[in-house]
Amino acid sequence: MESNANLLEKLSLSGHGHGHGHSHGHGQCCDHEHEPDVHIEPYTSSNKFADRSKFKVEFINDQFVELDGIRYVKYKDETQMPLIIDLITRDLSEPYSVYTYRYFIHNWPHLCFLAMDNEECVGAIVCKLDRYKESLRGYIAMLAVHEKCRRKKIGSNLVTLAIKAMIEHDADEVVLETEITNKSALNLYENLGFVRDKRLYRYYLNGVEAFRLKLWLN
Amino acid sequence: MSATEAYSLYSWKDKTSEFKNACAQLNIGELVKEPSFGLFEAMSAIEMMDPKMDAGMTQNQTQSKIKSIKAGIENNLLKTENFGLEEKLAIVDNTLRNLVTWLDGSSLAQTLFTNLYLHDPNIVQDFYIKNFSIAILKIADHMRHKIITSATFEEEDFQPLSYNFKFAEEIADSTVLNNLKSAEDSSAKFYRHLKGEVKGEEKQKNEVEMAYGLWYRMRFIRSFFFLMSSNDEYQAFANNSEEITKHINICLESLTKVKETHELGLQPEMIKVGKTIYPTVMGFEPTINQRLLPPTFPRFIQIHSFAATHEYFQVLLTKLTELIKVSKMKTFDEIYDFGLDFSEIQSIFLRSMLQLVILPRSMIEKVMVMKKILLDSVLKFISPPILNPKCPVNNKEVCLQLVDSFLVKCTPAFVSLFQILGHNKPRQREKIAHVFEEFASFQDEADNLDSILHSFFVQQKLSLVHYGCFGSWILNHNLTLMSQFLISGFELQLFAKYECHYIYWYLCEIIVNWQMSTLSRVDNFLLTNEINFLPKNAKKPKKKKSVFEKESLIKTADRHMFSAFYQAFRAFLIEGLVKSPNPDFDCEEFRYNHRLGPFQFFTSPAVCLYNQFKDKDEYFIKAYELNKIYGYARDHYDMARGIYEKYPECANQAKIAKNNFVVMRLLSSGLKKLEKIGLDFSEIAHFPMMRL
Amino acid sequence: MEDPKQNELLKSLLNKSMKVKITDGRVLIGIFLCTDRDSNIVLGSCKEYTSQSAIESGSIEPRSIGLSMIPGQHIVQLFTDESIHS
Repeated sequence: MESNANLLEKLSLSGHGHGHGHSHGHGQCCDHEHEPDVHIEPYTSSNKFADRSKFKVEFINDQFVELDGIRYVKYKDETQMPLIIDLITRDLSEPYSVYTYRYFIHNWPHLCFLAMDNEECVGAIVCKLDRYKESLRGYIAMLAVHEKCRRKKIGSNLVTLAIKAMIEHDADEVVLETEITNKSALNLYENLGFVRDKRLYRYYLNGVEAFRLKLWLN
Repeated sequence: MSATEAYSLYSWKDKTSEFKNACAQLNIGELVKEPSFGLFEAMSAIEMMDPKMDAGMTQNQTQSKIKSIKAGIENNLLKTENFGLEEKLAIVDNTLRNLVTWLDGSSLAQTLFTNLYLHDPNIVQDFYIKNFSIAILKIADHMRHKIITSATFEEEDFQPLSYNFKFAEEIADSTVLNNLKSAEDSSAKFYRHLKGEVKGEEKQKNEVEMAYGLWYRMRFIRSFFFLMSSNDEYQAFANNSEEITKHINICLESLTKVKETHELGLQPEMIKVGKTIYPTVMGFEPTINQRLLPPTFPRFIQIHSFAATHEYFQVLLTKLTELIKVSKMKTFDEIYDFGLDFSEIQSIFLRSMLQLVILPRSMIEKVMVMKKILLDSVLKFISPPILNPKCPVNNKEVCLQLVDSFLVKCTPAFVSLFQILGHNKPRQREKIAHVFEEFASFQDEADNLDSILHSFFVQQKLSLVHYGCFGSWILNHNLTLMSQFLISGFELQLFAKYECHYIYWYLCEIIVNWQMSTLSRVDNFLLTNEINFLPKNAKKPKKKKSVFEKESLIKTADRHMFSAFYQAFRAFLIEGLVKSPNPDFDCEEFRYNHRLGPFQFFTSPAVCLYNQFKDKDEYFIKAYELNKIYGYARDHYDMARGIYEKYPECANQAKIAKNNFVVMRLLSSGLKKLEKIGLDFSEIAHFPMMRL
Repeated sequence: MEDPKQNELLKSLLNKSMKVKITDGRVLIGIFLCTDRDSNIVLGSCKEYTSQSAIESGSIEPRSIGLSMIPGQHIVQLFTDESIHS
């Protein structure tokens, strides 16, 4: 009589590709007829974000960093608000009142950054970070870069600054939503390792579908 | 107290300048606010005078010409009789456009009920328009009821809110049907009469054509009403399929005539309200219900074109015909496969109909019917010896009781699994992941049941086997669910190209492998028990063909495909044909774990951990040169093609396998270095076509 | 510079009824909850009337719009309620 344990063993063996009734040639991904002798170190789990202090950004005078002639500055006070609102209203489809900006920026000023080309604000990012179910979730609420400054990695640099700040504050994941037709945003985030976690059917007011993008930090 | 009376209790004092001055003294960014009032709430406030948010703004800009149906009639803005034929055609067609727009997710107030005649159809004197209006109201109510009953819609699919509109509840369906019959008959008579009178003149010819158009509109609405007015699709589709087919055919035929005569009707005037353009004919007032709309952001809607409306009905009717077929299906697998394809359809109404045709409306009956379906499925899949009438076990009652309670336990979960197919595709994927835990627990239940039954056999010294019976059945289901979950990720375009390799690896190494071994085990199981049921001295049958021969072969081909794709994508990553993300924040292990995390509940197969994958993956890419890896992929595509080509239904797969074979052959030859590779996921989402 | 008296005035109005006429002629009545330097005010339990005359004639029922934010630039006139019950 076959014992239960025996059966389970059989099951799991067959799971690794042995003993099929209908095997046609080599069906497996990895094992082939003459297996070369290659030594592989067993993989050990990643602890990429174990030391979060590594991601801390040093700001000059605690105010800005400079990259390719653009100054990325920390949000200071509401004198910068009109700059941010102007820029973001220009190219976001969703309607936001001044109080929406205040909700994010007053609560998480350390997750808001501006990109300055001399006196002109050419990019801005607005985020939040709070608990969602079991995880501490960073959320990129708004990101905008001035038309004339596209392709200069300003968006990518702003997102990088925001993510580093979130990592420093122990975020478990970073999420955002973007329209599925917004190829440049999808490219920007996917290059940084964000993946499409969900598709949101008719998410926006204009009826367009969206993706929820996510970056896992553990 | 009326609003006016309430208002009179206030004593207003103008503080405009004082207030503004006081505000101006505040610092930048300083707020004066009620302490319990937070910025989170402030975020949800509607910003007045912002066209994207302020619904009231459009109301003041576009005042309705007609305030109500009564006022419209009094001011001679609205006819109730003496319509021209071109007006009748236009009213019918425009109403159908609005009906379809509503069914596709817009609100009733912004669509169907912009037709004032629907507010009070009894005021209408014209016999045709009156009965058409009543029928449309009842149709809308029936359709709404079906969608609500099947409970598979989300806010993004459908807006059920009725705004207290009346749907002619006081008129019985049978009365409506009778009146529609008279309308059809008299419109036919009118057409024949007109045709007999008219000779020659172009203008008169048009009249005849329009009368013909009116006749077929009445004919369409009568049969469509018949189809919609059933309150028990489960019975109707199973027992009354001939009549349903007849009416579907009448509708389809009439629809063609409606289309042919559409241009003869008065063409609507396009009226712009906010960003929406409303096609408007006699009887329609686009802004009539603006004040009923919720104070949320004004939703941009697009009234379906007549062509889109025609297509909507055509698809709807054709798919209803398919539902007649499915109502005859017996096993869960057949039904589920059908439902999976069917749920590609955007129409929430059709997805709801699938639910209502397959299972009765009441929960008690639903469970009863589903239990029977599951019993048929398990019989067909593995014909459990205990369910064989010849099974000689002496405590059969007890055994059957155990089987019954196992099925009773699973049934509700299968009912909800089936219901998931009614949801839109993105929601389906989320919901499937939510049932994993429950289905994983059925595996233990099934294995326990098998081992108890088997122990009875052993005690009674029967040579029958019961191991891996119900267990294999559940396992096969669970593997299907896992596969569906990953495949739907491709369909929804969720996977980045740099993720594909581990998804393909998982499909090949874990899921399809297990599926194949399950099928082969079931084959052996069936054979063993068949022999054991034979009388002692009977001749043993020759080894028969496998019951699952075709299925297993196609699975083998699928496995070759997944294997080839894993190898190809892996090589693309190494070569840079697929770009890896910036390593600053990216971590493949985290991605892998989260993508496959939903499988954590399953014990067979248990989720394969990243390090297990990684060790095999590393070995593979270290052991072989790129050319060799492409060569393996080439061979797998070739073998897949060889199998797919035997089956006409796999023609698409064969085509892709053949195409990718050619690409891999080129890459493995090393003769050509590619700058980039084209990947076309449009034909089969999980089998992209490669292009040089 | 900040004048504490002015600030007191604004604070005293919190949670009181307020009526605001806006640039397109509509009139909003609600509870005053918040303002900033630019008089971007937030009213709670807000009712929207198409015009002042619509209120007086009672011809059209007001529409409840809940929480609303009126940008300072769209405020034409602003009234506070001085009746005893307020």
